[in-house]
Amino acid sequence: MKTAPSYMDRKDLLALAVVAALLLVVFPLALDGFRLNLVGKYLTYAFVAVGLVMCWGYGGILSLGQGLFFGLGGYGMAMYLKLEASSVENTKIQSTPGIPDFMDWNQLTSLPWFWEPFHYFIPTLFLIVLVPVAFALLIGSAMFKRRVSGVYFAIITQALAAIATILIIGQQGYTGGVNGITDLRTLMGWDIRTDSAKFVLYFVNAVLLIGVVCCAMFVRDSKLGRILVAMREKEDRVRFSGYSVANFQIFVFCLGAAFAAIGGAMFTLQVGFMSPSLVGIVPSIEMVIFCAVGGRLSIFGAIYGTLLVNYAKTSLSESFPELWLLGLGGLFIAVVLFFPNGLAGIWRDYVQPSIDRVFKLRSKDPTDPGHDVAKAAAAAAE
Amino acid sequence: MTPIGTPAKEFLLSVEGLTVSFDGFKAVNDLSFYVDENEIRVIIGPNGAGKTTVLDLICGKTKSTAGSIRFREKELTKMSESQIVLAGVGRKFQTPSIYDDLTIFENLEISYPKGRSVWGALTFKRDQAVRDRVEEVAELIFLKDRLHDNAAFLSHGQKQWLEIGMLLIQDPELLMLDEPVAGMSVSERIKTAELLNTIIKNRSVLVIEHDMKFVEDIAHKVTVPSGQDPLGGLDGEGAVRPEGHRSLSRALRSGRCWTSKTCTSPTARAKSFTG
Repeated sequence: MKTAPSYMDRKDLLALAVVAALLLVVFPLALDGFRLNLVGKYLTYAFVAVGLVMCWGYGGILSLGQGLFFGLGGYGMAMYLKLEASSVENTKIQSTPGIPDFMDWNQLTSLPWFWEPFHYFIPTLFLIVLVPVAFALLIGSAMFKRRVSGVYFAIITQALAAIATILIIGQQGYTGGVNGITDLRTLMGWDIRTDSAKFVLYFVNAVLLIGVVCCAMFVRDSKLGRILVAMREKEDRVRFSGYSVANFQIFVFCLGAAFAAIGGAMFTLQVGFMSPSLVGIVPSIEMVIFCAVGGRLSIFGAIYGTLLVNYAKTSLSESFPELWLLGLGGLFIAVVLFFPNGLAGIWRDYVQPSIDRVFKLRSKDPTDPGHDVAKAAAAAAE
Repeated sequence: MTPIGTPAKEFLLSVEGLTVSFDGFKAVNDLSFYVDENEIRVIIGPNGAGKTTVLDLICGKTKSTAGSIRFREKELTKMSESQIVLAGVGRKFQTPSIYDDLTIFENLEISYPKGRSVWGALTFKRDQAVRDRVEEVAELIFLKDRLHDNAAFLSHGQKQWLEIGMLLIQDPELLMLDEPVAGMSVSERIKTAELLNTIIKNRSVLVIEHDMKFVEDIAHKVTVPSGQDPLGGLDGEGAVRPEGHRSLSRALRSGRCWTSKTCTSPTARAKSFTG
């Protein structure tokens, strides 16, 4: 009995090592600069997917508006980079030099107040996380304290993502409108458009993702993680065991928002722009699909799901651009119908047992914990 | 200040003039009853009489329209659900409310009265005290050797016990059980009565039950919350088997036990319902 938890830990460590090796060694060695940057872009969505695993998979809170938080993080970073690119000498042909070009085009003559903190890098880093978390806190408090949950919550978050897009497009002078914030050049004087910068940023992104994964694993393995599962199953039982369910829901929603925001900021850095097309309903739902394909209860599955779906998207949309969305929808339906636990479920049900069998054959030594587990599993199966 | 109409003695729970109406329908109308320390009180009544609603009102799931519920000097009607739990009221639901995807150990651990805030839960450590307490309770509820199984694999009766165990670990002063033996086999019912008799020490218990044999086994006092004829509904449902339990059904038929009836026997058997 005692071996079971340690085995779980070992399995998780192994999975973490595999992901780290894949992201930090295999991809950089196997892929050229262009493809690696593409993978880096996909991995920024994986931040959102990991957040969704916590929020939706564990907490049972389906948010169809994660693009909002991804966007807020991404816009935060983009605003900093844009201000750096809009120095007075770079913009001296404008009627108001020193402000972003799109503001000048929209007859703005001074920088709006909410852009001011983004002149400085450290405050920007804080704001990238804090603004989305504050929004999540606000939305979460308004919804969860009133016991709004399930499909109603999903619809409201979707509406919020739509509102955010409309707002960004409508307030062109403040946000860059439908084009988004483009023509980003340097980060503290370091040109982010060069191949070497993209290579470095890929690693920063991968390390951050591994950090986020560890953070998610810590939360999942704490008592809070078990309370999330408990809430998902019997909300009232948790409530009448002395917990304020709303606070836990708000926490996990904020956690998901923070993860998404980090992903958004890394997206801006690696891809070099941020636009409302990454905020709205479609990207938000795509991110849920990444999470569902990977397996909504698997933190690692979220990463593989994101990579796989995006790889399919890139290769299929190159050959059959008009069929891609149909394919994506079909994939989602297929996953929900046949593999409700996604890739992680397929792995657990089909691949892991055969690995365990090999493992069992090899470990004849009864002191080997793996042996006990295999025996326990066999006993449980009987 | 002592509530009007009560003796000088302090009750653990005083329900007075409790009324709740749903869109004009009064599910509970002007109900008053008092629960003593260390008393087992059973609430009986036909379906729709508002028994479960009474528990809902006490634990804060439903807000009352009028009346007061006082528990140890605290007015429960003004408190949130989690505050009521912290004040010492535990409630078991009618259908077993347990967490299928967690192990029995984890099910019990969640009810352990520590780390109930977000931060507390994040930093909660499963120390020896927690383990000992969980094992102790698991032994009481006959599930000690299944601690690391998922709760989904338990039988219906075992799920009921698990939920009772989850309440025990919470160590409430007032334990409220909604049909604890519903759907149980005869042997499970006997074990449950035994279990309840073990766990009632040092606490008060409020039970809703249809099973009259069980009621007679455990009750000190019985409350019928409805002002309507209590027997009609019960007969209609067939939950009462009057032939074997004449004393209780006679009490019901006499229509005089709409509010609390005192049981004189110290052996926890409801015998004197003749009023």
